[in-house]
Amino acid sequence: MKQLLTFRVNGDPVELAVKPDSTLLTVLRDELRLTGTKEGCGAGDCGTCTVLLDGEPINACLLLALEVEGRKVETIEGLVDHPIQKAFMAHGAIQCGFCTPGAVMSAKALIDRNPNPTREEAAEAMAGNLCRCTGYQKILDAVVGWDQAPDHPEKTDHVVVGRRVPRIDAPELVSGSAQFTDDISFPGMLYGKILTSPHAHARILSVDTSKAEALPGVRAVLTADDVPETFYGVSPARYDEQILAKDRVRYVGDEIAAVAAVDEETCLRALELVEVDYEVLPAVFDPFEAMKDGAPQLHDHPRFKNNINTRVDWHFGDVEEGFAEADLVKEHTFSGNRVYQQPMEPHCAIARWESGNRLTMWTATQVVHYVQHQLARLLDLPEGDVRVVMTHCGGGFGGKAEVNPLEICSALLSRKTGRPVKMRYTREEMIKHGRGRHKQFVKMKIGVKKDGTITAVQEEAVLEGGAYSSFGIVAVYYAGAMVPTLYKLPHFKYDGYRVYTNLPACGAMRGHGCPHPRFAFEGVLDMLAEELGLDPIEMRLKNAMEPNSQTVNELDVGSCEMGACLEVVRDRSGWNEKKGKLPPGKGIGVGCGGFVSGAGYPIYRSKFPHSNAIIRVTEDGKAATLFTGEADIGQGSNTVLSQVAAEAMGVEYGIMRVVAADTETTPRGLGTYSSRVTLMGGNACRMAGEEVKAQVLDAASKILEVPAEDLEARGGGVFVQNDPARGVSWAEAAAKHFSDKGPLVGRGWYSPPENLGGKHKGSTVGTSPAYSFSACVAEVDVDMETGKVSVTRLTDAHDVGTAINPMAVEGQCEGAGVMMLSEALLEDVVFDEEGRIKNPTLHDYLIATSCDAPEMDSTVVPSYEPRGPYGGKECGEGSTLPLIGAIANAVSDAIGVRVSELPITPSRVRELIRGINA
Amino acid sequence: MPGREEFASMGPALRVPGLRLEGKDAVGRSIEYHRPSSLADACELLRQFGDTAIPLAGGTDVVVDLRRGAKAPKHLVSLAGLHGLREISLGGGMLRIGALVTPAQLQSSEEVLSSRPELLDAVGVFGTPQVRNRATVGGNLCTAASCADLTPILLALDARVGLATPEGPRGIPLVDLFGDHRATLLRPGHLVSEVMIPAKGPGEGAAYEAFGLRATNSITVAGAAAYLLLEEGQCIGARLALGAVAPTAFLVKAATEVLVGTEGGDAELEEVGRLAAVEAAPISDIRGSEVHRRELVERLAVRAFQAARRRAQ
Repeated sequence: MKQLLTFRVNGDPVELAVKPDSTLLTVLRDELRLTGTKEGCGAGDCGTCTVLLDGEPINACLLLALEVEGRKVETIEGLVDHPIQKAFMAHGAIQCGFCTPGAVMSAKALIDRNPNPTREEAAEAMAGNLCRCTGYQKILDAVVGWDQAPDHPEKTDHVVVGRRVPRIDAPELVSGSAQFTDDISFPGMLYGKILTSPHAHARILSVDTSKAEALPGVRAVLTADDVPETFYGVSPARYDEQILAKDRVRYVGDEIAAVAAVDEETCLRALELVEVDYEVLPAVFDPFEAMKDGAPQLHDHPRFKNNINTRVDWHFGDVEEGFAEADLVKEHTFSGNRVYQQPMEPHCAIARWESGNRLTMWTATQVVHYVQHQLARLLDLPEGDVRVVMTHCGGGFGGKAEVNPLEICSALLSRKTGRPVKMRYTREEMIKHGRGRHKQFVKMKIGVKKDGTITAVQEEAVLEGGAYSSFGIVAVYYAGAMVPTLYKLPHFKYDGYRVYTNLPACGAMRGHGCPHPRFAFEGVLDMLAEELGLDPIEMRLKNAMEPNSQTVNELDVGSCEMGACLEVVRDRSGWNEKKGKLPPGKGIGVGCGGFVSGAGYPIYRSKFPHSNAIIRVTEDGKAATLFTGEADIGQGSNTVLSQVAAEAMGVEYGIMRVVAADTETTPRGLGTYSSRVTLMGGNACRMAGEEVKAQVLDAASKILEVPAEDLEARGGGVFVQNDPARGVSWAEAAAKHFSDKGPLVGRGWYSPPENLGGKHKGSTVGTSPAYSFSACVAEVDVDMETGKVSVTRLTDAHDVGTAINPMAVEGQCEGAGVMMLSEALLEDVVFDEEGRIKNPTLHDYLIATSCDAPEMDSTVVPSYEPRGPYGGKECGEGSTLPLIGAIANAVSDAIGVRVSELPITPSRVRELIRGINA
Repeated sequence: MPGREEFASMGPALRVPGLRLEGKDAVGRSIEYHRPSSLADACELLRQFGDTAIPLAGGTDVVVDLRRGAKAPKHLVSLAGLHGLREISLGGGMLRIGALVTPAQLQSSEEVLSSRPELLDAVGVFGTPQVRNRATVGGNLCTAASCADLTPILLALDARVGLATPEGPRGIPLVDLFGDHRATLLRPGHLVSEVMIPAKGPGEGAAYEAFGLRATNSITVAGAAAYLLLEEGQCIGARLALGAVAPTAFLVKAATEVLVGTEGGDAELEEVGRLAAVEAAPISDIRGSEVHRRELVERLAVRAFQAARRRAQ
């Protein structure tokens, strides 16, 4: 029974009746519609729901609403133009923005009681606000420097490109007014939930939904019999998923039935009333067991014999010849960890059917077009009848890069009920759904000459794939394809196995397929250097990739400053003074990485441009809207693309607006994956901007009576090139264009160069117009008695071409540093003997906090990529790849024994140390 | 194709029976919320409802359990109206901490700082800032998780707890509060009302060392709290309490036996560490292996005693 509650929110008295088990968070979000306060975990672990209770930060999800009787609650909506909000914007402390409202509240409480916090005090005060994007560096900058403007010199030859402008949507994100999918509600909206399998492998004998359907409040129940039988997935060559399990479930969490009801509580009760008869089947969790003859088969198709989902068999050059030339050959095995992306925002989707048979889907996705494509396939509709709108998206890291069951089931439930349907995952459900990083077992063999020159590399990788393909086919190719891109390898052999197991499917995650092979490669390099008495950085420099080369697996590298990155981290870390001179327990290590700037080929075969842009200038010429299909999931692409467009148009950045990732209003973009947006989206935006500029110059030439080719537009003005005093404002010229010729619009598109890559099977994976390069030196303290590793300092350098927005680039690099530190030391999805996840919460699956973030020194080295917009290329994924190798090498240096298993937990470190002493 | 043997060095992931199976996401159902304004009324309600009721203090554990369906009470008895339990006082050589005092309150308390600053070792590793503003001392003790951070240091400091019961108030040694992991010996209608700790005297020192997997806000994998009383360089009192390495936090008897009568030198401390590791009964779980936990106990016990010794001198 509801009880009356009276309290104050942001100064206003509130009186309402609430259920005793309603949390303050539910009341704020659902009853008062104060949706700035977010729900990231519902268990007090993430801090996205932080509000102030009588001035002190608390988790609104852990507080029953009735407990605030008579008290004062402050939410993000209560802060207007507060100095801490301005500081978050100016310092670049916001990426996806999902953690921002909670973080701002914690920061505000801190500076209210301590206006001059030290960095350490700030880190402690922010320790309850997890952030997966920023690496905390800029959040701490903002908290410590809340009353000062950031002081960074800007060096750029351009007007807009190269400037440290804040995110274009920072005001909405910092005020809590930005709408994420779960912040949206419609009248009459229903909620949906999915019944999932409790068994890792079972045959479904029967499903009886009659009791669930009879429950008051339930509007629809779907099982496999009610939904299309079409298979779906990521790659058309591996469509192996069905909407709801037809006859078999293959992991704990496989979808069986979906229900729509008036609220989630009713949905959950209804799911309990669905009766499913299972015949439990033997399950297999270990990829090596799964490949054995006689192991339980997950998929019946003969191509998947021995549960091998994808087999890669590559040989470039002749490794036997290469190893024969070597003076020293080392082989070592490494095992990675199963990592989950943990974006702060859980997946959410809302489906609504309109005008008869047209679907609109609001969803937290990285790839509106691929979601549209799959929904149209599954629902048998033309793509134009499926509108997919990305709302603000609270981080993805690859976990939102494919169509998901919420999107599909909400569409079907909404069609059946005629009502909008919202579906969202809890933190546990999203982890259970999976699609995180593949755990890889990597055997790496490298041969070198005495001087350190690499003569051959042989790699074998086994990827624990889970129950379905997802992005696995791509992951297993990437695990080999990217290995020859950093160092000059004359011969390379790769055997890859992506194996089905009865676990949640693994998918694409930041650095896709590459972190574990890099961990292995950088480890073996260090083993070789040690045995040959070579300096690890000198050895890497000797082999470093050079610009304008072709790799042994036929990838074309253009700009490349691998060597410069290594020199910078060597010099800035004080490597030469430290390496080999540190006491036991202290270590230093180096690692390298790099990634594609967009995949050379799309996920399904097509000829259309990968990125497209339209710019429409308003009639008065004083604002311009960029329409782009690319998705800003926090990395800042809307800002970067606006900078590129503004530069190309010749206008001030301030006139830009963006409409992004809405399949109805924006031209197609393949979305945010494979680090493609800066280069591909940027090129499309530049082209669109130049088309606008040409038209403005035409109009200006009429005003100035000067030929258009003698004019230039820059920074909001149009002037005569050899007489810059003569000119007209850009807006005036644009307005004239409208008066004379109607709407001022520019269009642009980008397709990667044709025929990238070789002719071998799988040669499309790893191709790209351009590659990034990075190096990192990690310094660690290891408590030799307890095994605990602290990363004390990271020195990293990156070749990202031109940094279109250096503040955003730093944000990517710092975020990459802390995310990978977290992966290296803390993270692993662990299963019990029945295939159930033991740590499906942020309480048990730990990610780095502000107090774990080390001191970071990030440098962007001078570079220019001719194929990129204004010389730019990717930075979000390549920046992650040196980290695990660097940290593992540093720990190995500190403890005197090779680390070959992730994560590097205290228990494992102690096992290694005990092993030496035994 | 490759075989597992080639990767034999890795071994399978640590296997541990049933840590926590997948929780239900269902919220609690048809709960009645009560908010008594006196301790006596609270006890009476709890007695009346018996095991269909749970008391609600800060809620940082209870609300999670309700949401996961791990607890499904019919009645919640909120203690929010019991303002008298929010006080910290110091008098007659005793530090008294109300059951509803939060860790944040302890952190900023003059009384704690002057009489038992060692408590702050445990407060510093306690949850997040947000949780420290809501959790309560009484809740932390009564949840009775073996990894609770306040328990070992309070055991080492020989704390007593005050109970409110339908028959009137009484006090018991803290060590008698615990039955098993997540189970106190409290009877329906009994509430912890306060914790009483002897104020620091001359020659005393105590310290708590906790080991967590990340820099902050992680469940304690093993914890050790040490107490020493020195007189003219001789140890005349010693206690060691361990957390997270047995179903409940507990006192290591051998510590007292070994140390009393010695100078509490490093050799004796090492001996205590070894004995503590033997007396511990840890499990292997996602946070650490049994072997590692025993190692941790040994090192943390020595470190805690070393810190206590510094503070005592």
